[in-house]
Amino acid sequence: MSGPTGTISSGRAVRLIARRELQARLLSKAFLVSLAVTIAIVFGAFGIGALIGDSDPVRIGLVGAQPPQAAANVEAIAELQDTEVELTELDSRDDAEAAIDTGEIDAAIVDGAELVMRETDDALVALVTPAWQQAALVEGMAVAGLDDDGVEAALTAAVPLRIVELDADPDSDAKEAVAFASVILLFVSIQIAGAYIMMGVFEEKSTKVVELVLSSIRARDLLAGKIVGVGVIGVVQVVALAGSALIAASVFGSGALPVLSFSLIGTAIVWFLLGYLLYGAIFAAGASLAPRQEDAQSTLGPVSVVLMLSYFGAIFSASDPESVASRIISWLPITAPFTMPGRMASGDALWWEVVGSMALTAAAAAVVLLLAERIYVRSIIHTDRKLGWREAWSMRS
Amino acid sequence: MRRIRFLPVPDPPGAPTGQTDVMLSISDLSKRYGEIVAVDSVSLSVPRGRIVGFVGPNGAGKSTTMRSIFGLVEPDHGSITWDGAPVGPAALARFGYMPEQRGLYPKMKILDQVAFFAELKGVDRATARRRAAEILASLDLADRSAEPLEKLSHGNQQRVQLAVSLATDPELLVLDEPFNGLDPVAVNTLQRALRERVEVGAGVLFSSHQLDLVERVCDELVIIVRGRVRAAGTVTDVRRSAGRHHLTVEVDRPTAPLGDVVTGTLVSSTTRSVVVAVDDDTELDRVLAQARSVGTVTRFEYDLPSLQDAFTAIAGADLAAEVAA
Repeated sequence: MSGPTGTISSGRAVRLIARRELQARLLSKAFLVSLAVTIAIVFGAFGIGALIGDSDPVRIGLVGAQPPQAAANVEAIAELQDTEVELTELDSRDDAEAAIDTGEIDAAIVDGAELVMRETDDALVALVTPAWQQAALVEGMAVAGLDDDGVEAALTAAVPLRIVELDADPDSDAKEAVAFASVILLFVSIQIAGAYIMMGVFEEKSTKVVELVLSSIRARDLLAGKIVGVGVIGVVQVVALAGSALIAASVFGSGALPVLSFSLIGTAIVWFLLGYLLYGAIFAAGASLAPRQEDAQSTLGPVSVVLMLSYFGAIFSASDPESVASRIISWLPITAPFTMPGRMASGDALWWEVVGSMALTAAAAAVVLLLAERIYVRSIIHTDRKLGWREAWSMRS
Repeated sequence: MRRIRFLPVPDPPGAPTGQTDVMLSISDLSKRYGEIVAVDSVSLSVPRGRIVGFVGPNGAGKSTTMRSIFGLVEPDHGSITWDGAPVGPAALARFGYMPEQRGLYPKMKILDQVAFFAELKGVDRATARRRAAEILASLDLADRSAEPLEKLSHGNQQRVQLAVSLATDPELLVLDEPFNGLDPVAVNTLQRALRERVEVGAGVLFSSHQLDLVERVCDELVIIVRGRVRAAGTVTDVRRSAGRHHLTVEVDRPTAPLGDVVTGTLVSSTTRSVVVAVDDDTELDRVLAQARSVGTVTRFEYDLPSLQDAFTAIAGADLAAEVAA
């Protein structure tokens, strides 16, 4: 008698476990919905940013006679200030005040002499005053006897001060925003993937299905398959979020576009994987100790504290990536996966710093994986009681 | 999971057939947890084409022994071999297992689930899915195959668990308390499924703490008490091992106490019946004649002790109560 069975290799076992993990999570409604919502949030953020950026035109009502050059001047100044101005002729001062009341116009200029508005708007004053002053000046020069050529010569001589910027970076705001977003994106992605690992390990242990799985394959292969499967899901998530940020930035013409790039997304994936391996290993080992939910929380408590501290470190680092503290944090393996990408996006990190901290994090992840595997392999099969970290460590396999 | 040490040991007791027919052989297996000895020098074997019942009170060491077969427990001492070689991945791929702690993936569809566990045994994907569909159909679950496990009733989840253990046509089935929680119909289904497996040459090892079931289902049994094997062999062997034959005599309205005319070691008695243990050289004709002298004999039975009596003799009255039918 022979059944349709053969022997299963480690590689095949890992693939089968990874595939099951992918199917269970990737095709689940919860995952698809949360991914769709997150992408919608990314698009929404860029869309709102674009709306706020497109400020309304300044509407000004004109009552009575105005200096001849005033209208042309205000439009020229508005262009310099990157705003738009809309001029409307009104019949009387009463009409103008009524229009301000209803919000049809922001301000009115009466007889070239009065600027009427609900309350002083400095930006509006700065836009309108020089235009009328200059127009009055030109009129005055003509009255004083200068001919048109003379007026033009006088105006040409009156050029505004040339602005000289030391250390100019037109994208500095965008860099800061992208740096901040990188930190959040990586931190959240790593935490979600770590949670998937924890939930997966925990589900297998609490439902006791692990007993059946381990009657066929080795615990090490089960852990490896789970890490591979959830890792693929995590990469899909990072690519989807970063990719939708890229698309949204180009659709809405965001200022972040010059800073976002495929290489930035590429390194984000590498950082994600390093952070995920580090935290996933710790989460897997922690979850393998606990046969019930309450126990899982107590064994993972210390890990969560580390994660929260590193999160605040990351936020701090994103807001001031050039401080000494930020530099130190970006070298620690436990925080590097979120903080170094922030420094990279802000343009502060040197290439050797990036390579060095990646190598350091990779080495740390490898060591932690080995330690976690030892704990996991020894503790996962004990579905009957909670184990301590130390007890599992010293147990016979 | 490390390999289990292979030690040369004498033929285990309870191996009634030749070594060539023995597929699974457990020899001198011991396991202790701290001060508690869970399994103490247990030896047993499962021959080809036989159903072996593994009987004992709760905590006797049945599960520990069975989990050792799959490397889920690392024994302190002893060996487990399959066709003479230590159990390794190749052998494990031929085994089907139903753990005492039932458990499957709650959200996974049952066809996917049965096929997945078959693939973990090295079956290719197409074959695994085909076998899973066949086995689910044979267990009347064909129309549920696209449903997640958690949608099924407890009884149907048990059937899926059985389907998982059967889907690879295993050469050895190890079932830990498979009859637990089954209704009488399901008991018959399972019994039939096991019989089908052994008819094609597989071996079955199942544990139970219900003697009546074991007596009905198994070809051989192994009785384990407090980690030690106390008796093994066919049901008849075990009944015989308990000692002398029992003589049951029933008389309609006896004119004298039956105990006066039917001699032997009293096992139990009522006003009109008596059970005594008797020696093999007892002259039954003489006892029957004496019984007739006090009334009409309505029953006269000479047989081995019942399995329940045998178990009581082996394990003691306290523990025997735990495995009562």
